[in-house]
Amino acid sequence: MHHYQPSRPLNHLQAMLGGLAIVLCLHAAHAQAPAPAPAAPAPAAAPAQISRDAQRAYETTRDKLVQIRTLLRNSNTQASVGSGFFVSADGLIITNFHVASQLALEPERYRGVYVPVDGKEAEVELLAFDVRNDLALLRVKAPATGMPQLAFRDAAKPLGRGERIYSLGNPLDIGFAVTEGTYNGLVQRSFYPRIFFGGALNPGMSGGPALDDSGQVVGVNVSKRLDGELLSFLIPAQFAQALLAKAASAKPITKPAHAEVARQLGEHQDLLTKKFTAAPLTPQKHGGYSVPVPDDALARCWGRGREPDFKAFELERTDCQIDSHVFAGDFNTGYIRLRYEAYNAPKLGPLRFSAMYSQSFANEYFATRGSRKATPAECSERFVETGGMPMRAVVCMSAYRKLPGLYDVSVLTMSVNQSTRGVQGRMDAQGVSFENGLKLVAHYLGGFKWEAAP
Amino acid sequence: MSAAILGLLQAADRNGALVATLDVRHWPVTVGRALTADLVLDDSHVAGEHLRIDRTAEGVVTVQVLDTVNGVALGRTRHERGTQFNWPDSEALTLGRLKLGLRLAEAPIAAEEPLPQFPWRSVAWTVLAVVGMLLLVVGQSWLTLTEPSQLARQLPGLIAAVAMGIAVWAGLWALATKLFTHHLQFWRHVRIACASGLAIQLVSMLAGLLAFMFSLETLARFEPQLVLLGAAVAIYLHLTVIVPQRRRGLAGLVAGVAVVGMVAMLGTNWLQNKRLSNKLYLSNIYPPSLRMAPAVPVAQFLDEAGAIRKRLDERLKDREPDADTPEDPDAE
Repeated sequence: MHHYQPSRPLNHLQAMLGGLAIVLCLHAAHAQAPAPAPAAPAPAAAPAQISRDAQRAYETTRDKLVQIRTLLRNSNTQASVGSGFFVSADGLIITNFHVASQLALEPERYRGVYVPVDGKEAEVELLAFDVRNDLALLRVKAPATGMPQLAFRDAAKPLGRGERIYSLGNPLDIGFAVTEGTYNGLVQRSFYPRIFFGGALNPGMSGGPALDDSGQVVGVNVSKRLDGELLSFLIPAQFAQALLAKAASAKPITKPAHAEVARQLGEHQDLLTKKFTAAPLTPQKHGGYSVPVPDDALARCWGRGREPDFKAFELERTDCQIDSHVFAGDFNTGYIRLRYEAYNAPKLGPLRFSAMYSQSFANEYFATRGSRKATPAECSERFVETGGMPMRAVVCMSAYRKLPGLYDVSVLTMSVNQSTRGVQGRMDAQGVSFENGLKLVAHYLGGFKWEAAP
Repeated sequence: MSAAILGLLQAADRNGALVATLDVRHWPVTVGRALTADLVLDDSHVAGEHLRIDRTAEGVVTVQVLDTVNGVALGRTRHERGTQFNWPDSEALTLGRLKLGLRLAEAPIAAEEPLPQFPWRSVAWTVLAVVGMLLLVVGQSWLTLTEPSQLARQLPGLIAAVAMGIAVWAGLWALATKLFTHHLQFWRHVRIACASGLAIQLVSMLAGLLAFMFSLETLARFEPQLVLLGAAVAIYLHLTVIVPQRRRGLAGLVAGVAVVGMVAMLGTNWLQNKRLSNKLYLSNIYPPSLRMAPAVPVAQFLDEAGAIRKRLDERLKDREPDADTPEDPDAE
């Protein structure tokens, strides 16, 4: 892609759409950094901002609310902190998967504890998790009966837009807090249903409950956008209920559960691939070129025409992303992203156009080196004929080291049919099976077309 | 008072400077360090009485090797103490660190050489090479700096930088040349630098073009290695100016260094990423009319891409790169 000047436009664009839901998972080291001035009498100031209803929500929930910590077994230092809440009398707790992922993936190094609002920390064990909906089910280790518990709101009685909801948790390990906000319906173009919560969520509140006026759980705190104000997201309660129903009597997880994570991600990518390939992609015109973009209901696209920084040629960009990120342990996966750059430079002539076009081609990033999570990329390249035009195409894939059968797939295309114009495309699919990866690439490549000017 | 001169013996050091001469007025003559010798040579590797040179009635010059440890060399053949051999007058003898030459009185002398003319040809070549290099730089910036204002702004600095670069590079080689020979040969080094720079660029461009035309991915991937080879040739050419008489040895030396460099380059890539080239794909695009390789249908392309799976399986068997902490070494 084009990087002549440290391209501010692209960065800006990325900021607009790249800053997707940032998970609230908090590491202990981060929590210590921005310590507030100790002199500020925070607790005294708090009630002034909270309405009576919030106060009531907190009072009725405080004994069902917990903080979840994962601790390093050796040193007992906390590796991450989040929130959770009791959902059964025998001590079952719902939290986020990203709060408890270390218990699932590295149980030999981490253990989990919960800390009630007034009480001592005690051990919890992980029973089950739902990677796709970022949920985990924990149980108090010591046998328990008659624990206080929160009830779920009846799914048949949906909230109305603008209704008050109260989100609870322990932000930044500072102390338990309740924040008040509004229910704004479901997030548009989200791959799985997510509640758009118009209120403040902070790191550490992940996994905490969001309650309606009557104190029933409507959702579970999960994430927020960093590029907006009071744009927070909740997982609808029905998914927590489903996990609870399925796994209430499951055996605790004591061995690394990579296979189960991979299985759930496998289901996710199957669904994602099916949705992506279900219908032909929508053609988007750039001069005589048609490039494929996903349906408006599935993906969010940002476009930008005629970069003002470049006078010698025209450049139009498009950037589409399917909002299907899934948090799997310590990385994000499970999404598809498409990008295009359409060049038109009659003034430059074929040679200079080729030089510029090549540079844009060479600038692309691939995982040359590999990492702890995935292997270095392996590629295959060719001149490919599709939609009445030849393209240079490169497919690169890398395999996840610990999630068997999952791959990152990238395909890069450069049209080579016109001497002073061309369109560059790139699709990245994260965490898909090998077959689905090729299926996505085939679907994508099939969407290109050249129609000569009439 | 004296007999006619029969010949002239001349001893020169390694740099070709005359250190002693002898007008031969009688045969035989002796050569050595002792003052009793006819030609006295001040070289610690020469014996007191090293050689006796005589001439037979038939006119053949003979050399008798006297009491010396080091002997004498005629061309590549050594002659030890006590031996005798014929000395064709055209060749020089080596004794100790000196060269001994003989001119016989009756030998015809070469015609007078005209004084060197102003070296128009060299100047022309130099100008051509430098202009070519500058044109290359200008051409390349014209290709890549697509905004007109950018080109105008950057060109003067660029040309100055290239000129400086060539001057410094050729200057260093010229200094080294001066150290070993009597001449600076600055302009010759400038010519070599410019010509090899042009050639390397040409090879690299040609490699990119051929790679695009015929879809030769390997050629595109190993273009940096081609450039390295070009640079090795350039350095060899510079070195031959410094020590012209050792071309073969230099070629071996430079080839050796180039091989080591190549192995280091490829080896580093291999150790880091288990592949010989760090370029993942061919990225040179030329005007479409130059493409000769066929464009295949998507199905065939994906069929071939299926081979990636096996290669990734291989990679999965490798240890992960920064596995500083072994996963669970002491779990049960």
